[in-house]
Amino acid sequence: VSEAFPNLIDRARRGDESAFAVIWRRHNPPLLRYLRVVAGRYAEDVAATTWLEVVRALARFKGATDGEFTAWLFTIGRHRAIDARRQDARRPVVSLADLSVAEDPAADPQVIVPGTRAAVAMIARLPLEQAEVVALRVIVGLDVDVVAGLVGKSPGNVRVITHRALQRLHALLAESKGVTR
Amino acid sequence: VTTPGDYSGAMSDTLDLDTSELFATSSLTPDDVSASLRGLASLLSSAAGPPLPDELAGQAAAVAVFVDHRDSARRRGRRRLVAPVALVACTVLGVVVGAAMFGRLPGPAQSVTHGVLHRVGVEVPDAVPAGDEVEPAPTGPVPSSSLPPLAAPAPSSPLAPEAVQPGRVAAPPAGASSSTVPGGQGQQSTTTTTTGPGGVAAGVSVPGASVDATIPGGLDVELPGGGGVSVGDDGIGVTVPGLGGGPSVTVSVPPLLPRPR
Repeated sequence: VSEAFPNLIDRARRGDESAFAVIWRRHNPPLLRYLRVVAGRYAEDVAATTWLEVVRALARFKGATDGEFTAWLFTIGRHRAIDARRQDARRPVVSLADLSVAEDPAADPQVIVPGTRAAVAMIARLPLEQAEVVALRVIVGLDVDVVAGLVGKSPGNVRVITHRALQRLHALLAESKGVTR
Repeated sequence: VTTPGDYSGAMSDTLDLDTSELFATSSLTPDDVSASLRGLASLLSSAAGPPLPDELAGQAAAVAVFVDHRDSARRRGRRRLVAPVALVACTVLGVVVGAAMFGRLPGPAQSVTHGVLHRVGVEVPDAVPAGDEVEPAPTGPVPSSSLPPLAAPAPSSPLAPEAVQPGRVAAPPAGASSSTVPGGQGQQSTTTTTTGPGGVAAGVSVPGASVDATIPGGLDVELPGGGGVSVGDDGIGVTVPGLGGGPSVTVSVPPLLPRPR
């Protein structure tokens, strides 16, 4: 049975490293995937910087819920990613040949099932605004209102961006099927 | 209200806004959608899949950063607490020792302080038994004649003149306490304290210099070579010995506060 988040964050605030480790294990994978989408090759460094900032500011974090912590964590990560992009404006372009598309033998042979890494790389090929929204909503699982607050847009605008992003992903998938065959 | 089940096996190929919202909220699985959207559903499902080993590889480093920050924060917290406490303790200690040196502590406190400081080689006057309180020393001006020969004690001081002559170990006068502390290079220093009708006088003599203090009434410090500092009701006098056998220079500063009448 997983411990309730308010207890975890409270213990971490008081310096319990085991509580912090649980929080890190829960949040680092989606953070890293989000940063691979928005910060490319700097994702690992930005993630480390983000956690360092979290550690330093944890005592001042007033939230208690998982949602509040997640929003705080990704706000920090987003700012650090912006810093990293300012240093190197080029976003990495992932070629279709780089995608390790794995086929699920149990699935419809017409449907290609990408692995997690390939799926994240595919999302990273979207325009930055669309990629970020899809990463925050699908990978991280944030509510549309939270995402709207994070990226500074209205919830309606975020829904529209999501819709366009998924249409584009759908097209990219079709393109990828054509390349890999 | 559209639910994921509504799309099972009956979903159109069109990716409209509502369907996109269902994808975005992970409400659709590949089994819930038509064949044409199954690839997109699989991609989104994979992107949100369980953690990969390399995504958890940095845990030890992250926890080490956490522990390091926590420990240094605790050390900083202790330092923040210790500094003011130490400052207050030093201040109180200084005031107590200073008051003890001038014999101004209440009787029992003076006795305790005398005993404690005596053990570490510092002499302060002991408490005066009740009924034997000393008369306060006259607060009148210290004769100016005490300034040129700075080593000369104030008239009210019962301290023997020998105790303040430079370069010699003073012999305590009758009624005085003394202690001898070994100094460096085999030399010795002597402290003397005396009580008498003129107040409390303390003298320290070490090879090459001596200090004579009389409270109230003033403070005389004699330095080797004829120089010295005198603090009294007349103000402050500083004498600097002349260089190369030349005449010494004396500077006098009048008292900052008007003398009590």
